[in-house]
Amino acid sequence: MRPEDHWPTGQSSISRRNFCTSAGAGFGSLALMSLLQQEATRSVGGAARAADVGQPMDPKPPMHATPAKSVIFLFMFGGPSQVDLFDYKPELQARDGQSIDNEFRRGAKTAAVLQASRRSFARHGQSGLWCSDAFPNIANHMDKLAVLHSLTSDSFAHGSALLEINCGRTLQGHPSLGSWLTYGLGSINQNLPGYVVMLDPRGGPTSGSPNWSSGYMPAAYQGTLLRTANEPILHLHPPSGITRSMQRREIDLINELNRSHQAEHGHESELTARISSYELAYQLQMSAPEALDLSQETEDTLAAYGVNEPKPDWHSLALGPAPFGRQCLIARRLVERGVRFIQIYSGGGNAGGQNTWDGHHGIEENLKLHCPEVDRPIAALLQDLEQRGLLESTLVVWGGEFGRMPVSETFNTGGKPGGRDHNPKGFTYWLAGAGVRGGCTYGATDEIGEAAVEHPRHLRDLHATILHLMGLDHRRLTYFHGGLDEKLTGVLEASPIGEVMLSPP
Amino acid sequence: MYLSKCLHTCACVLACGALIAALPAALADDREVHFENHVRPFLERYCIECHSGQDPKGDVRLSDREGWMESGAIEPGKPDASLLIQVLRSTDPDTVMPPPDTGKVVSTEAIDRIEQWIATGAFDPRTPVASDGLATSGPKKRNRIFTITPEDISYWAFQPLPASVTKPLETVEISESINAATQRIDALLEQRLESIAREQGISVGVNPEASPRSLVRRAYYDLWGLPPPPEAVVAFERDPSDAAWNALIDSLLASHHYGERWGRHWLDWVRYAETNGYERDGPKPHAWRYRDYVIRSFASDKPYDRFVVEQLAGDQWAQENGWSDTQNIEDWRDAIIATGFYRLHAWDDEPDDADQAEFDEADDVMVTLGTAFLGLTIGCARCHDHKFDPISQRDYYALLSFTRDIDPYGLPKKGGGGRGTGRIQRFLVSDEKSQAWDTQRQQRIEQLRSLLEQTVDPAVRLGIEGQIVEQQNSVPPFDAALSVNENPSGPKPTFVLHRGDAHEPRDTVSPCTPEIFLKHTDAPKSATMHSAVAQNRLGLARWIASPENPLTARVMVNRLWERHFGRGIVATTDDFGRTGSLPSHPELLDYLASEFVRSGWSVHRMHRILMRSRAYRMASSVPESQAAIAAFDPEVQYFWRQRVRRLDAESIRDSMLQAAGNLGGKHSGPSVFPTLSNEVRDSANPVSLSGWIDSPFEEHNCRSIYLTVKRSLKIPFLETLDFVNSTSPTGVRSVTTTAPQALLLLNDPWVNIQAEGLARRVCDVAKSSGSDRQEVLWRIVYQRSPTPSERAAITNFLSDAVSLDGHRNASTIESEWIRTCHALLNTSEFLYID
Repeated sequence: MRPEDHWPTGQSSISRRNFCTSAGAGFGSLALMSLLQQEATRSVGGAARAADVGQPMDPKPPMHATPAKSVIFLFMFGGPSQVDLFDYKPELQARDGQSIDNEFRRGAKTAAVLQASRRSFARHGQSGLWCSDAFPNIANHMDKLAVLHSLTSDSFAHGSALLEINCGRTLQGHPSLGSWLTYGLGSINQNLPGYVVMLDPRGGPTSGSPNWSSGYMPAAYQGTLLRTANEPILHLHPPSGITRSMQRREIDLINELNRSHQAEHGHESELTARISSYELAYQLQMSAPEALDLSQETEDTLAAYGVNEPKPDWHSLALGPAPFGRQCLIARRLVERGVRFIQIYSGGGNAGGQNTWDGHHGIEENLKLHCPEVDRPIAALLQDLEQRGLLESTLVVWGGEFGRMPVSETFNTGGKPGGRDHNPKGFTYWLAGAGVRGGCTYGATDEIGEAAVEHPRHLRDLHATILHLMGLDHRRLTYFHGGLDEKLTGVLEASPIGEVMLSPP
Repeated sequence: MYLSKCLHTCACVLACGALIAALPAALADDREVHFENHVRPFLERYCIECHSGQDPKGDVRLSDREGWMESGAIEPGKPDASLLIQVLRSTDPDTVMPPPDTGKVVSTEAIDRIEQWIATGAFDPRTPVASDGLATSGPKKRNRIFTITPEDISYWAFQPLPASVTKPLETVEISESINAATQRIDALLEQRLESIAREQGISVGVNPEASPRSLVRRAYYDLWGLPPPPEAVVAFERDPSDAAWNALIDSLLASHHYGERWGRHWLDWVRYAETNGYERDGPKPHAWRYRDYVIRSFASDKPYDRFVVEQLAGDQWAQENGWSDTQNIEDWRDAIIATGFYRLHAWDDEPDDADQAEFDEADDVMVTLGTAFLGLTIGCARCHDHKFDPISQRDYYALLSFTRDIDPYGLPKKGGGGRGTGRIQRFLVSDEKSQAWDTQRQQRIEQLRSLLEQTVDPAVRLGIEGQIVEQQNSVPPFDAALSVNENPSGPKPTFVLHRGDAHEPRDTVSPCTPEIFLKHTDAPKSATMHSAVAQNRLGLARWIASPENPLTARVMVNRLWERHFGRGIVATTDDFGRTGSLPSHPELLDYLASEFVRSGWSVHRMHRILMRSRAYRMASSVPESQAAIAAFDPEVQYFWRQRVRRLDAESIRDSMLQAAGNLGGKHSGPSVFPTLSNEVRDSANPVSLSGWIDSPFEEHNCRSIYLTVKRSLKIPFLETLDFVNSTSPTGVRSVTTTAPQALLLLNDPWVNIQAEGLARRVCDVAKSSGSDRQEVLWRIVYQRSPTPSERAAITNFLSDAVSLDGHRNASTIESEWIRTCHALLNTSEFLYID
């Protein structure tokens, strides 16, 4: 008996039955098969059944009913400080300056001084959720958010922590969340990439592309970088001097030659897929700029997102809300057009400086730099999605690779106080939109905000939650690799956090 | 299959029956009473609700004996080691069972009774319930308690190769032996196909031979990864004899281009890259020497067993042979460079837990060693016994312990921040020489220091200080290689790590090959395959490279077959275990493996055997007469025709360069950093760009294998066209067909430069030879003449292009010709072989 004799055939199960076609090889044929319908064998290469021509990004039904269609993941690279933003700790405020023992890296403890937040906190909305004055605009939308205060992860270091939140492991080489989602669900709009990543103008995150890699899955599932300056997608436009009509004529010639070549190989549906890929590419050259064209937006909308705000001059690193606002607005436009997964990074370049949320060298300065960059854009995004009826079908996720310590950092700063160090032992994420129970909190850190104590949940539970909200079961969304049914959540137990959902599993 | 399933079940029942029967009757009764009175009610009340069915919580099923055996929740006779007791007695609200939120509270007495049950052997008569949908799906999971079963011993991949292996060929180079092997391949394929056809009641004919042009293209791409020169096709069309075909293969194998092509395949299988990945993505010093070593090894047809031994234990082997920087210098250098194999893995310079990271790195090596050489998913046994294959966790650590003499990749780490690399390179001279050089340098520094002490003049002092710094920073004038270095204090002890946790060492293990391989007592005995394996890396290497190792030869010939036929005889080329595929032609695989070993592990000879076969030379097209088999076997797993295959990323790039006449002549040396576009630079992390210093322009057109492989920033052209991920070993690359690929090939300025080069070349040749341009273009790109309809299409295109072209450029070539060339570089016929 062989594995393929037994794997489930259910239409809604993205399982071995399906992925085995892609296992290790010949996506050429997979590209042509509908993942869910192909009578699979663990084989690859060569020709596929001509009847089942499909593309890797063809939309696939979710495993269970869900209103969710898209995800916007707002990534605060560097690690935002929960105790200055959402996780209000009166005890920390009261004990400012007291000394405690602090584990600042795995197994390494030092005496450190508690540092109260210099922000002031208030309850907001009907739900009365806490938010600090660092986010005056997001504060108006607390009733839409489910705030998870008790997340934990496995690494104190940026590189491995980023990999873990993005790909489920602290080790490099695994597919990212967006890859899993597009592998499981495809994408609705074939004229745009299904998985889009937008970076901070100051640079990419630590480790770069492994954060949006498809790992051992086919490259079709890796994130596409969408640049907001110059060419949004690599190679979107022909070199200068080649007009669109000229290119159309050239594609016609390519098609003509390809069709006569294909006539000799009628059984090779991969060749058919190749011809259509040129048409898709031609469409993409129109649809991508159109999706990014903010001139179609009203002045009010542009103003709400802060798109035209000037770059502040108080700090050489300050950007103001314009870049992130622009990306949030583009994200909304992409969601409208059926893009499955969009990740936007705030903060970029090398970690360790104030160019990211990595506030070692003064948390106040860091907040003053980065909070205004995202506050208005995020508030505008939530409002805009809601007004357009898109919030019901769009899951918005906010967070970073870890949180920050309640103590004043001295380890990295040569003794200079005022910064905060990394903290994977208890940090905050929030969710909003599709299927999310707005205006609730889940779990809690201890009285000073250092470690999760009430309902501590590992990042993989957040992954299971996101997958569940998107209509996928983290246990059944598997990809066969290296002798194992790989899962985003890995081999350890994970479960979705039903408390933050409108209809828990 | 149904019958075998029944037999299997019966065997289980019999085994259990025997076990019970062996117990004294009274005791069995007592156990039954205890189970029914105390255990069954307890499990049903507190556990079964969640821990039953197809998808039990925590993967622990307590509703039948098989369930808890598989999950290991209960270890009969050992209550303290049983997870069930641990969680029942736990005081931690996160782990205690039943979970506090169920409101169920268990009395201490009840737990005592469960403990007693386990202590007395955990008698449990319950069997899986069919309505749970259990016991029917997937490869069968092993029992939790690891034993090698008769099924393991008879598993196909562990069977010894036919005895003929031990009779080496005496006339390896004689063409007849190759032809005989070739005929055997075709006969075995045909037998299999005929029996399938009979079973299915369908007719199968012999697919016709491919056209001479297709064959030459196939041969060039399979062996060189480059398009054939038009003349080579013309010559073979004129004389398509077997002799000419054989001569063509021989000439392709004799070229360095062959080493470049097949070296790249090997680099995929061992996830070669030149940086460490992770946060700082630092360089792996001199990694390119390993790449060149691999190219040289393939080009020179180094016996594969030697290739294996060099990579796993070249340093120890060289020492045994008495090689040094004065004796067999080239052999010695290669043997040292080859051990760079151990240093290719991704490496986190700022791991959260440095102790754990050391084993993550060791595991990366074990995974790669397992898949690349043995086709086994050994890595699955890191945290627990392998769930499907007969590899215990103890086997895993016993294998790992062979490599514990290697100095770790990274320096120890305490606290935050990054850490440096350890002793991961070696000078390619004797220790004496490098030490002598260092002593000399130290002496020079001492001299300078004493001179400094005697000097007063500040200007002179400054000069001397400068010289001291210069000496301190001076690089030894010796070649260096990324390599292993032995730990000066000997191999570190190895323990079985509970759940793979470096902080939970259990039993000590010593170097030993997996138990399953010791089970074939009827196999020809040799010191390298059995208990006498030397307990060092050389012992491990010899065991893997042994003619009696059942996997090594099978795995490698299967890789060769896959590259020539587009699908392995075992389709999962990296996994010969139970989660992989069965061989479609077991006898053929065994035959090829034997031939491989008998010939002294000659890879070149295997190419000759495979490529001379009728199967290899078949057309990829499907004549009407083959409609029935085409419908039955669309995946072509019975090899009744060849496949249409898209070129891999490197071949596409190299072919464009070749067509344009731009392909550079680099054939070794440090990797090339091509210029990145501003778009790519702007969105890259600064770490990815650090060290990215554009190579001299004349190197940019090198073959793709010489381009740098940086883990955080792949060459965009290659990455878009399904370049390998370079972090985990990849037996077979995915091939995707996507819009971004079309955008790349249409719009990348680099492709346009090649189109322009091609246009220029076409015009020059046409002018000098008096042929028409289209003929020349077709010859270069497709190695054939254009058809009348293609001529018409081009004529139309040229005239349209002239009117559509907004502004004529200043190039000496008409831009519509450049567009024509560009279009051809985008066509399927250029990008696929058939």
